[in-house]
Amino acid sequence: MGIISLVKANNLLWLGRYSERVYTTIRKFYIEFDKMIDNETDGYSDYCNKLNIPIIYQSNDDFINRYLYDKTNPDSVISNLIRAYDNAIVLRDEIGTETMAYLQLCLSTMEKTMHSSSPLMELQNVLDMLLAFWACADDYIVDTETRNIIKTGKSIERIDLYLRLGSDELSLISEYQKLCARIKRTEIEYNDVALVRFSYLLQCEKEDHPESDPAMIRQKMIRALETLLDF
Amino acid sequence: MFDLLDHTESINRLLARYGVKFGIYKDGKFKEQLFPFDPIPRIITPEEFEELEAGLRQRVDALNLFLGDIYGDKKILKDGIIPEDFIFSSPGYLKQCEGIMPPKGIYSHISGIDLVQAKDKSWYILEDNLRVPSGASYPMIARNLCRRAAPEIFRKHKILDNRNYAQLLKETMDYSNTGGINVILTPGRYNAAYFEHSYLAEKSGAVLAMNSDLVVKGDYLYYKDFHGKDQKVGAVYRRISDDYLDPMTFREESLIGVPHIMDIYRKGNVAIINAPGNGIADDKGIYYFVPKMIEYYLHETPILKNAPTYLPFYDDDFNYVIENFDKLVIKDVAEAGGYGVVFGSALSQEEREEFKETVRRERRRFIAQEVIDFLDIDIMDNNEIVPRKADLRAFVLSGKETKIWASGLTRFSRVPDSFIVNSSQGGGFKDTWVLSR
Repeated sequence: MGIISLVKANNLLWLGRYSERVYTTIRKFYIEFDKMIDNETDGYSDYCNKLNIPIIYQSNDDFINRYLYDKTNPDSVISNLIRAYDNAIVLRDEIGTETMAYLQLCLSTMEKTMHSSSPLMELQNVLDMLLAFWACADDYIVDTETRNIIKTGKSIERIDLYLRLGSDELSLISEYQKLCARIKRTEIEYNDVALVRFSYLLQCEKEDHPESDPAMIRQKMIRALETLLDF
Repeated sequence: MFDLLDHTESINRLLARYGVKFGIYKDGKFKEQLFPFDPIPRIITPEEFEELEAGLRQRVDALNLFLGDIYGDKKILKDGIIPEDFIFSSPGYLKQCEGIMPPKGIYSHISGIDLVQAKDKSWYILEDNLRVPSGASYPMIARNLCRRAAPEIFRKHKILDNRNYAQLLKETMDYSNTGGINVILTPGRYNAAYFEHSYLAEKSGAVLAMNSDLVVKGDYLYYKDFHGKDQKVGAVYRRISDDYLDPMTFREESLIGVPHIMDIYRKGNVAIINAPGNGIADDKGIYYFVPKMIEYYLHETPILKNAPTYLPFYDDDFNYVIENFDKLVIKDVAEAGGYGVVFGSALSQEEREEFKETVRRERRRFIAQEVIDFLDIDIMDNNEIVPRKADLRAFVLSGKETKIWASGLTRFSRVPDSFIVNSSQGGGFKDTWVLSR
């Protein structure tokens, strides 16, 4: 530990991003699912549009099944979880067997819920495993740089999803502050200007700038975030 | 010991949780499989281990001397102990390694020696694996879980702790290290033994690297970190085969090797663990000559026996093999992993005749062995204890001293009466307990 190659730094960052993507999309999915109970048709288009993923689903039931469990669908939750696992498996020597085990458990649990009569109830276990994974990463990964790269990835992904799915301003500000603190501790090269720009846009949103369209501001924030890192 | 049986499922569940798997390619697709663990251990008494320890040390020391000789003065050939044909026609012999003296003169740092125990309790060596033997990580992690599951057993019985393997590995790497960090070079996560590569890196503190992380600059090997700083590498425990190690020296189409690593290895600026070219010593044809090597280099009588082996290369042996084909097991020297093994008795009359013809045509390609009646050991099969064939892979680590790991990988067949224990063919594994005095 302590010597991280560029490839591993990349894996750590994406481990953080994909694990967060699974966590937040499941939580948001619960809200969409609840709406679909009262809305018999096409309760998912808005959600897909926000995430900028193709609307390939035929019905609410098809969406529930394929968005969660279809391994051939690159945008499904399980595909993102497999990507998180693929990044973790090559990092055993960095993050440790104990930490990795929670992602293994997460994937096994996700695969099991697929065959459950009430998969959405069981999905809570997947969220629990992800929370345990992050707790374990916090607790067991001694190398601060390793830890901070994962967390930087997690923060970037969370902000991106919050922006797309329309989270409140306070949550955004809190996550932005975490990102600033984390990325500075990683020693990875990043685009400082992008952070400044993001902060400015955040301020515009906060002040309810009369000449700015809130949706446009969020689009600009997403673009600023995309230019933060070069890998 | 039977207390552990109640925990079979929970131990296997935890092994799955920790990603204890191996990969296989079937129909062109990569698939990860769990390696089924059986909780009934193989038990080795202190007296047995004493004999095994002495015999294995003697064997590996002789094999290391043989490798130095073959890539050096070739005295054993000049003295007629081994026919030249067996060396220069072997795919394991690499002319690119001629004249190279590895750091500290060690060729086989980690040797995996496969043994079986016959019904009279005597041990026979089945084969020597001196290239990239794998398997130590499985009993190592299983022991940890067994101790958690049934601590009383370990309190009551004096069982030597096998969780020191990573430390032994580190000592071995450190001893040959030419100055710099230790790395474990893996071809990547789609390798059959990737779990082991990553687990041993974690436990030994070595850096797990892929070829893209390593670069030869000037006369040294470096690991590139993401700050752009280069860390000098002193020892590479490579888990890729010789053919793919260096595209500038071996197969030029290799995408998993490190270009020019052989150049700096030749200069003594990095240790490669195990040394390239070791395949000549674990060729199945060379196996026949190992007892002779022990006598030749060490002037000692071999402590451990080979399985009775015949080389069709020699006329007398060829005639014996043809006459006794039905009771022998024939092995293709170029194959491994349980492949290329044919039991004469299992063939039809027509197949036997056809096979004999192949042996007649390619006498150097095969060896034949008497079928050793293995001592069956108990395994759990659907809540029932049943006897099955099993072998033992012992690990010998050569550094400052030659040390025998007080454990080993016991692999067993899950099919009744089958002698094929390889994990790639459906076998499982057990822990191996060595009792202390």
